[in-house]
Amino acid sequence: MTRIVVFLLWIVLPPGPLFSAEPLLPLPPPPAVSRDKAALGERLFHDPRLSGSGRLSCASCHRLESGGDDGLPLPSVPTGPYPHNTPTVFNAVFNFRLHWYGDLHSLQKQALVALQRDMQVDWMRVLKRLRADRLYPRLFKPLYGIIDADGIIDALVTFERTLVTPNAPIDRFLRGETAALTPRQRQGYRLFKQYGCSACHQGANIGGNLYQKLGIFGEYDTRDPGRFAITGKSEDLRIFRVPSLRNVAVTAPYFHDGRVETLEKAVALMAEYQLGTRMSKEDIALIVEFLHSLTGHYRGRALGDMP
Amino acid sequence: MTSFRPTFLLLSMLILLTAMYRYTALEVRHAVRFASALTALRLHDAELNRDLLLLRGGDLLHYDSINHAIGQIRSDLSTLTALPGELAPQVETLKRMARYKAAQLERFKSTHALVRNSFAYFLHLQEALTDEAPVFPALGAAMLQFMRRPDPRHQRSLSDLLDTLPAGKNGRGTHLEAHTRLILQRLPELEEILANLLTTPLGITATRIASVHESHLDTLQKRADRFRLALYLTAILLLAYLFHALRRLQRAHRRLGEEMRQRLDTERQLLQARKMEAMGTFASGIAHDFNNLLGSIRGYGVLAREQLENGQSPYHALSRIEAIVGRGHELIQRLLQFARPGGDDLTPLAPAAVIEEALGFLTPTLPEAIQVSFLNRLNDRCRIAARAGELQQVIVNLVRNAAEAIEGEGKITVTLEPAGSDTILIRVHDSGRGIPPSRIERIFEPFASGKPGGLGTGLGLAIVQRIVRDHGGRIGVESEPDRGTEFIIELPKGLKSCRRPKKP
Repeated sequence: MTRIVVFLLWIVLPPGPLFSAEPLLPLPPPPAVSRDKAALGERLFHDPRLSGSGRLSCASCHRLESGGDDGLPLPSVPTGPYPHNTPTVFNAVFNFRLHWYGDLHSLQKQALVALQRDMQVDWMRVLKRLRADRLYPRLFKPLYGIIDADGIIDALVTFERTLVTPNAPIDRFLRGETAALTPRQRQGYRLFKQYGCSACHQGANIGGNLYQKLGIFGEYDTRDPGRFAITGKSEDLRIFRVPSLRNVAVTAPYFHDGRVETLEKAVALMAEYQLGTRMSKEDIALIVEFLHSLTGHYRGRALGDMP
Repeated sequence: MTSFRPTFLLLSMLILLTAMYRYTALEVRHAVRFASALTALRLHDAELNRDLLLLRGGDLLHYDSINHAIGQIRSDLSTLTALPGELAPQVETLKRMARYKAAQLERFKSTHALVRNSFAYFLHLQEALTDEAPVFPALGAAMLQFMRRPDPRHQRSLSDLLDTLPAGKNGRGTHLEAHTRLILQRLPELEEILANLLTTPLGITATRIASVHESHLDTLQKRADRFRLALYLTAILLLAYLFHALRRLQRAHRRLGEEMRQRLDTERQLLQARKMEAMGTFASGIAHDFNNLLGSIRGYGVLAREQLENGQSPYHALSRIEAIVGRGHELIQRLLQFARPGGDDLTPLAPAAVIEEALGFLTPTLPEAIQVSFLNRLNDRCRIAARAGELQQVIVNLVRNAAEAIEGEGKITVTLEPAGSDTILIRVHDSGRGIPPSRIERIFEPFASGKPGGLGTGLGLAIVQRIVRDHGGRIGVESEPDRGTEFIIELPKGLKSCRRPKKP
């Protein structure tokens, strides 16, 4: 019966709306997760005892009260100079790969790498301290039994799954609420599509779902080899994971090396190296206005608007 | 031996059924999951291919759905890998294809993004420049041809046109050329990647594996059907056995009921016979009493005649005779009452009087060396609900048993006393030889007579117990060999308080 109805609808309906003519999609609702695990993950996310030095927590670099990043060109981690700008943790769950090289396939892997490489976690010590804690054993017991590395990672990842920012003006616009964008933002969106920005920055996360070469029209000034560093294949030179543009207005500075401070400059550079064109100041301003409409809400507040 | 066989049968059946379950049911479940994962894989691959074509045609403008599809394919494959089966090498082939497809997909996305971007920008610029020189409309037409089918002929005509672009290019012209060259370079590559993706026989291989698996699944399902049949037959067998057992139980129940009824009948007859037997026992006592009465009557008769001869009034003697005859009548009445068959309702009566009467009949029939005494510790108003005849029968039986247990001299004491607030006790104690412990447990059973040489019928105590129970009471016995025996009867509450008021 259902199949017949679907078939009839398929015949009757015009083909357009079934395949979104828009390159952007509204953010899906946050995945359903265990509330207790997320709460435990949030506590761990802010706990500096997870780091070797006892001074660094996940939240040190992924500050939830700002854009989910650290606002620095490059992060300051005790392991010495770090090559890449900190990506935001918000909506990370919607990325098909993680990090600028896109070498990590899952949030679990990212959490493990961040803890072991960047935070230099000493698991034996951490587990001993958490087990001796007043609160943690009681929180872990019903969820994971004993406190171990797998449980910690799982709680962290569960919390990260809740770090999504729905209800940005663009989402409301895509759901049919035209007035959610100002006329200038709508114009900016049109330019965004016309110039071809949306060739790469598309989908629900507005990027974050493919690799692309940095510097298609002309060589971009960087010594970073891109994915070549991972794969060793010459075709991967200067190939990076395309970052998501959601909340881009509150996650300056920009690009893999954090050398670009403003959105205007970022847009102009993208136009020059990726699109092979030079945008007018007015077009850049319009697109930047549009980019401001990509800022979503976390816990009822617009991102970057936290107390 | 009899309990060994069903246990053995049950155990072997249990093992057999468990083995069949493990062997077939689980295997079928795995095989079904394998089949459904294969179907899902084929669907997701078809979905991926469809979206690739939509992307190439420009009807789909994002990569979320193909990322989702390849993710699903990956998870379908991990389901397939996790399930045990003989198709592992084929699954490995599928995995290799999926890995190849995933790698090609990344190339496709990057290249496609560039081509789409350049094409969009080309259209935009070409439209803006179309009036500036006749080469621009021609360029647009050549581009559309090339986009539709990027073969060398169209490639050549497009690149030839590009060389004729007017020199002294402005900014837009430069951009147009750059984007056109990018499309010229990348579109054939994109087509090749797309062909790689669409011709990777992931779906076809999955279909082929599915058809192999289907026959396997068929075999398994046939086996499962046989298992189900075995289960069905087992259930039928059990049902038949249950029916048989029930029938046997029913028959046994009926037989038992019949036996019980016969037993009760016999017991009732015996009760009456026993009463008559007791009457016989009383006969000598009664004869003695009547003899006394007759003696008195004769005495007073002689006295009356003498008084008449002497001209005296025989009034006193005659009234004595009348009184004696009255007593005789009373005696007869009571005898009749005793002999009447049971079935009377319980009536309130004074237990002490009933027991005294019974003892009155009985005592004269006992050997003179046996001393019978009666101790009444109840108050005078005490009444219990009972049948007098039956109660007397109990006392007669117990006292006679007691007398028989005594050799030579001895004492029998009947005591009546209150117990608790709602019962009275009748104790019949003798100083006889006692009952051996080996027999005491079975003493109330019929035909368990302890009297030597088959003197008793073996029914006395059984009848006593029955009467006591009919009155809602209990009977117990305590005995010490060579010291004596005491029967204790507990009867339910008197109608009035039977306890003697405590002396101050």
